[in-house]
Amino acid sequence: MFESIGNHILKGIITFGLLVFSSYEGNDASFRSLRVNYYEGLIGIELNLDGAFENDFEEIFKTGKSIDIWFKVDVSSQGVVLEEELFSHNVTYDPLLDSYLLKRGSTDDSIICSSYNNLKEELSLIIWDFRRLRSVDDYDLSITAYMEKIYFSENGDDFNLMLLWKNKTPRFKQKIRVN
Amino acid sequence: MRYRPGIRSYFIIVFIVIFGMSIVFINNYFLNQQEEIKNSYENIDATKLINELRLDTSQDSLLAKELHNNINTLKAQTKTTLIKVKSYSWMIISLIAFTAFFFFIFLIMKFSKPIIELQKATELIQRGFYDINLPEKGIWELKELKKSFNTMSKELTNTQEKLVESEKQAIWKDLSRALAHEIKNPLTPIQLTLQRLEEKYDDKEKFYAYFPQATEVIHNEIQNLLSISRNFSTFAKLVVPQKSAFSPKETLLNIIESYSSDFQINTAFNTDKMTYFDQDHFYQIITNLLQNAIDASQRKTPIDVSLKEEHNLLIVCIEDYGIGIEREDISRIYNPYFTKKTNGSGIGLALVKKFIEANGSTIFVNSQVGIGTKFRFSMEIYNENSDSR
Repeated sequence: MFESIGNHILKGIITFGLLVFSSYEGNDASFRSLRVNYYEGLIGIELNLDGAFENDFEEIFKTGKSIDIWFKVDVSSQGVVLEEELFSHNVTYDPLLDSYLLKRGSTDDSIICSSYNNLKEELSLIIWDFRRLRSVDDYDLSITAYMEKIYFSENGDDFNLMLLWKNKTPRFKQKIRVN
Repeated sequence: MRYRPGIRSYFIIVFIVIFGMSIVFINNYFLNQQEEIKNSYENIDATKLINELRLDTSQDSLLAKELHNNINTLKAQTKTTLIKVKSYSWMIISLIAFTAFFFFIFLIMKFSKPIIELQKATELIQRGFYDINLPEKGIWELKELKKSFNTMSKELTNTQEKLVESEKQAIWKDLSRALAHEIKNPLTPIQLTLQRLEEKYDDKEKFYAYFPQATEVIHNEIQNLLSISRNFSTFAKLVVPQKSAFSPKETLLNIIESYSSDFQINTAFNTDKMTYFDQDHFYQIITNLLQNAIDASQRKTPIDVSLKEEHNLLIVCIEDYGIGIEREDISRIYNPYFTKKTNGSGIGLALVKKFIEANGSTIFVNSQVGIGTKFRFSMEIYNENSDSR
């Protein structure tokens, strides 16, 4: 427990230090433009992860490594978690075609993006349909995004991709009404 | 209390200036390094060249892809290193800053603590506490300084002890001389009267005629001797005040009334509050000070007596516009048997001081030759807690 608290404190100090003192520009990722859709009693959401892939990501993607951006979606009502989903958007670059293969766990589809701008657009769009939310009620929606470390076998070094987001986890919380 | 910048403040200012400049320098160094990495990174552009290769077989394509990936990985590694440096350079700077700051605090304490100790010790010496022994530790120069200070303090203590001893001897010398003089004064008329009585012994008529006058003289002079002895005894013994609540205004008015027919005494009493003081002592203090004021003044010159409340104390002032006291005599007026009066014993002001101090107060005097003298002392105001103390 103490180790976990210590880690949290250290992470907090590093995040604060990065925000205040660091000269690194990075990316200010944040969720925006939530849209709630209803279809035959089912609920779906759409939102964008803005400002997340503006700087430095292109070079990282172009290493050809398979890179995942993870999304965690929670829906709860009166403190009880009703749905908890974890999915990723996976990007792999093909140097010969100079294109990006995007596999979206949210919509369970794959797209080939011919340009980085196109990739950013598609990668930032999160669409998720809930399978069980049918009742007429208020829900608390919470979405977070994070990335893991990538490993460079060439020099045996790893790199925490969260640094590109200045160690700041984008979070989104909102009440949604189903009727 | 007003803040005065001390040695620590100056050290801190110098430290902040040097430290700030160093941080700017280190930061610029890091920024230059980052710029160099960035420039090298931007110069790597192999994609165009690879795309111009002739890829005749699928194996060529795979090799080109691998080469492409490797170059891109190299670029990404450079980029990630740059990001790490940018992100964490503040940590190194902060680490340097914290280390420097704590080292600086340690140094400043090491340097300034002995100086502050010396300053406090000097203040103590200024207040009359000479016997000071500072711990002889710390940096060599400051240790030597403390050693010298301790030696000086010991010498001052010895000098002070010698001074006190010689002052005591001087006081006893003055006291003995004054006392001998005081005793001699009544003895002379007694001796003369006895001589006359012896001379007249053969002539019974003259003897009987002179006898009542002679006994009166002897009786009076014996009374004088007793008075001298009583004063000396009062001065010599320990004074324990018997404090009680009384109105100083009423007591002052009673005392002044007995003088008012012969002397012009102005009063200014601004308070009716009771005091907590030994009433007998108060009576003797006032009569002594008043008598001194009268003795120092011309007959028609007024004397001011005031009673007022100041800072939760009662202040009594007796001021005359008489001959004043010479500057060199001011420090001696409370010495027993010091007097410039022809008919004074020199014990009055010594007793006044003793009574006032016994009641926990202090007497102050202001005097100028030809202008006058003002004596002033304070008394505690009576309240419900006074009796319990």
